[in-house]
Amino acid sequence: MKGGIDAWNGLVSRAEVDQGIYLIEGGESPEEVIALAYGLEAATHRFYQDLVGRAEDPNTRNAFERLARDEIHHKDHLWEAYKTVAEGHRTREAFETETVAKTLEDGKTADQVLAQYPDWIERPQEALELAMSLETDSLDLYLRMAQKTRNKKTSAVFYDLANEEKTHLKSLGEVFRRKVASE
Amino acid sequence: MRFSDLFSQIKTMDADESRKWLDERSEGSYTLLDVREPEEYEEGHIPGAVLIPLSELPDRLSEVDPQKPVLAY
Repeated sequence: MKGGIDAWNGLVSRAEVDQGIYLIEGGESPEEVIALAYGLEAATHRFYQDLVGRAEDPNTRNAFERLARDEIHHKDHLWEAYKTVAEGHRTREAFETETVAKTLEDGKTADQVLAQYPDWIERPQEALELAMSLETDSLDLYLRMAQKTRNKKTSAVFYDLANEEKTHLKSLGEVFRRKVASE
Repeated sequence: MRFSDLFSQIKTMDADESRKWLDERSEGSYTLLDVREPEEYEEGHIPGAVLIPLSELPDRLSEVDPQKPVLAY
């Protein structure tokens, strides 16, 4: 690509080289990576819910509530995907208690992400910018995990997750554009 | 695979052409390669880009799937 990254006008991830990738070794099964992704989405959901509680501006609060609801949809999708690949019957509650629950989609803990934003986010636009940054790093993580894994079925799961994130980003992008246009 | 093989059919595209090229392809059907240094990569990279610094590329060619087209930047 002529001009390199400076010429690029699309999504940009600022994830570190090893960020999040340490979560997989490469030989995980589809069930294992879906459980991992579910834990990541659950942690992100809790992160956005935490931001809902902290936001003083109602429009900012609404933006975070929408983002938290989107993460619930992601978890629902992953649960449905898990049921198609898992052997044996488990309840969703049993599945949830055994997932990775302490990392965010970009491999950082909630505290580490919040520490990057010492000046509290007050405007809905800032909330959306934060969400787009996190979701872009998620997309980056899932794509790189797909390339690292040696199991083709597992790789396919990661690519599906990446496509989900792309759809989510498009939706966020539309909300962001409408927000900017209205200000 | 030899280092020279990686660049035996090179086409230069601008950013818009590159985006269109990526959008036309399904994930997993190509390799997106970032040949800069780690600190540059972490300042910002295209999501999904694999980092292999240019200085290391000859020794790490085995990490690049020869069956897939490569978009490098």
